[in-house]
Amino acid sequence: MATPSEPAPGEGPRRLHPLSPVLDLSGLGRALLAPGAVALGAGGLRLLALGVVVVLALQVLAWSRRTYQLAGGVLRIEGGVVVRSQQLLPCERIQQVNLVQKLRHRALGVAVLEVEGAGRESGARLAVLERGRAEALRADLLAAKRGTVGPGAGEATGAGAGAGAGGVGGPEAPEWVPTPWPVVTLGYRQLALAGVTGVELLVFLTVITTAVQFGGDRGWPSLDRFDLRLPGALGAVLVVAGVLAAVALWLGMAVAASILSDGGFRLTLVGDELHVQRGLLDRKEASVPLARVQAVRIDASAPRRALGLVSLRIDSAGAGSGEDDRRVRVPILAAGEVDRVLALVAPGSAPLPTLRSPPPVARRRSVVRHPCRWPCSPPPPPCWPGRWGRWPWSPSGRRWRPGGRPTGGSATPWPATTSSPAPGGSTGAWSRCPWPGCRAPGHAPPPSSAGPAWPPSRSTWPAPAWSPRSGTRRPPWSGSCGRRRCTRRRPATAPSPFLVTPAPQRSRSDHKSGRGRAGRAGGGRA
Amino acid sequence: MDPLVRPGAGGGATASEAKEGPPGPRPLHPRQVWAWRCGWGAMAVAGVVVAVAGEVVLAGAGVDVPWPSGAAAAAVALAGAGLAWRLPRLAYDAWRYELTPTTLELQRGVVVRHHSAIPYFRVQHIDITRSPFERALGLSQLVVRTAAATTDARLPGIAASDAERLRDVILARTGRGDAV
Repeated sequence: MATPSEPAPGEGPRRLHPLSPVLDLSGLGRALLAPGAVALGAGGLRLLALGVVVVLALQVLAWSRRTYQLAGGVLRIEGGVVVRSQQLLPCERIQQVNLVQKLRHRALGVAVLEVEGAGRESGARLAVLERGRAEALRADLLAAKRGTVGPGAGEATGAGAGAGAGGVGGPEAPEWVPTPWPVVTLGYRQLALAGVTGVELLVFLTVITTAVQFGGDRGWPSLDRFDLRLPGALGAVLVVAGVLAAVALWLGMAVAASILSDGGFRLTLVGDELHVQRGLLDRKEASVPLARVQAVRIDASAPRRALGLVSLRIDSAGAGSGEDDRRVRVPILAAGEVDRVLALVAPGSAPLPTLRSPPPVARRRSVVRHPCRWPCSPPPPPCWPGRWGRWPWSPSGRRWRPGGRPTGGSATPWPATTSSPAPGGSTGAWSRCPWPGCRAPGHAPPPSSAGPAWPPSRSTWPAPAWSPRSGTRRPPWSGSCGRRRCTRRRPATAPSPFLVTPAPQRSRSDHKSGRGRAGRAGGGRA
Repeated sequence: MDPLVRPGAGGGATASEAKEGPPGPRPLHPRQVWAWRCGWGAMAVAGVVVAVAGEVVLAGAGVDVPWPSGAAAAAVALAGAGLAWRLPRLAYDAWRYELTPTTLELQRGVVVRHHSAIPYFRVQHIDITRSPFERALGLSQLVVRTAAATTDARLPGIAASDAERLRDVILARTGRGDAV
C-alpha cells in the first residue's frame, strides 16, 4: 500500500480533492444517512450534530484512504475503510468517460469523473477532482485507450496526469490534435420544441405529485371565502383563460425541463471520439470512442413524426447501460439530418431506408379477419393431431395417426413412410371428428394412390389457426404491423422547416451524396 | 507457504512455473478456513444476540415460552458453533482454482457444486478486496469482473503477497481489445 504523502507530480498515487468529503457521500456515509434521519426524528438536534460529526469523520477517513493513479495504461484506484479494495482498470477496456459538474461543483471549480467499463460494476467514480485535473485525466485515459501511449511510455502517461492540462504527450513526441467537428448543436428554440414533443411533457406529473404532498402537509388554502358565483360570460371567459393558463404552464414545465437538462447541447466529433456537452445548471460531458458505440437508436413519437423530427440515442456498453441519464442522446433532430449524423456517428452504416407501413389490406385484416377467426372457428376436436404434438392420452404416448394404430404386429411405433397404407381410406377409431370443419388430416380429401407418402410433408397439412401450444407462431390478433416506431419518416429531400443544424464544413459531400442517392433509389424500388 | 506454488513442486520448475505455479487445480490458502470461521462465528454471535433479545422482549411482554429461559439462545449458539466450525472446512475442501491456458476455472460448493470457467479474454478488470478478517490473516480476495452483469467470480483465500502477482498473471493473459 503506497503512502500518498504529497507525491511528486506524475508519480505515485494521488488523493482526490480535499473538498470531496463534504461534497460527495462515500458508501459508508450513504449507509449512515438513513439511521441519521431516524435519529433526527427521534433524538433531536444533539443527536443530529453527533451524527454529522461521525459521518464527517468517516468521510475524511475514506478520503484519506482513497487514491488514484494512472500508470502504464492502467487506472489504479485504492481505498476503503472497513473493506479495503484495489481496482485496476485497463484503459483499453474503457467504454465511456463522463465528466459531471453539478451546480455546487461548478461553484467550487471541481468535477466528478466517471469511468465506465462494460458490465454493471466495472467502472469507477472519482468524486471529486479539480476541474483542470479531471479534464487532464480524462484526456490521458482516452489517449491511453487510443493506444497513442505505447507500452514503454507509462511514465509519460503519469507525467501527463500530473502535469495537468498542459500537455498530454511528451515534449519529444508531438501528438496530432484533431480539430473538433461539430455534429449537432441545439439552441433553445430547438430544445423547447424537443420538450413540447417529448417525454418532458410528463414532468408536470412529478411536479403535481410533489405539490400535492407538500400542500397536504401544509394544508390547502380554503376557497370558501371567495364568492364563486360569477356572471355567465365572465365565468366562461375565466374558465377558458384558466384552461389556457394550465396548458401554458404544462408546456412551460416541459420546455423548462428540456432546457435545464439539455441546455447548450453540443455533440462534437474529436478524432474518433464523440463528445457530448449538455446541461444548463448541471453540466454533463460524456466521451465515447466511436469504436465503442454499440447501437444507435432512432425514436420518433407521434407528434415528432408529424413534424418530421426524431431523437437519437447512442448506446455504449457502459456501466450505467440502464440509466438513460448517462447515455448519449440527441434530444431532437430533423429527420433529414439523420443520415448525415449516422454517417459521422456510425461510419459505414447504411442510411436509413424508407420504411413503409403495412399495406391497407393487412391493416383491415388485422382488425377484421384475425380476431374473428379464432372465436368463430370451432373448438379443436378431440382428435386434433399434428401441431398439437404427441397425443397426450394415447396409451403408448405415440403419435396419433389416421387409420388407427399400426396393425400386423409391427414393432415400430411409426410405420416406415413408403410401406405404410395410404391414409384416408380407412378410418381409424380416433380420426372420427365430430366437427364438420375439422382440420384433421383424416378429413382432408384422400390423396390419390400415387400421392405423397404418409406422413405428408408440412406444406400439405392444413394451416392450423394459432394455438397456444404451437409456441413459435405469433397469435394472429397481434397483427402484422408490429411496433409502429419509425415506420414513417420524411424523405431526406424535404428537410424539416423547424430545425436548422449547421452545415458540415468538411467536404464529405461525395461520401454522403453517393450514399443518399443509393438509398433513395433503393427506397424507390421498394 | 506460497499457494501459487504447490508444496513439493520446487524441483524442476521452469521459469513460467516459478512465476505462475505448476499447472493443475490448486487449493486455497489454508488460513482461509479461519477467515470463513470468523465470518460464520460473527453471524452466530449475531444470531445469539437476536435470540436473547427475543426472549427478553417476550418476557417483557408477559408471554410464557414453553422452554426454559436461555434454551433458545443456547440452541442457536450450539448450532452456530457447529456450523461455523464444520462448514468452512467443507467449503475449503471443495474449493479449487486453476489457471488453464485459456480460462480461469473455479470449482466450489458443498451441496451444489459450481464449476465456472472464465476466459481470460473476457476479463474486464480485477478488484482485490480485503475484509477485516482477511486483513488480520494476511489474505486477499480477487474479484474478477466480466462484462456480464451476473458473473460473480470471487476467488478468496489468496495470500496478500500473491494476490497482486496472480492478478498481473491473469491480466497479462487478457490480451488487448475491449473484451465485450
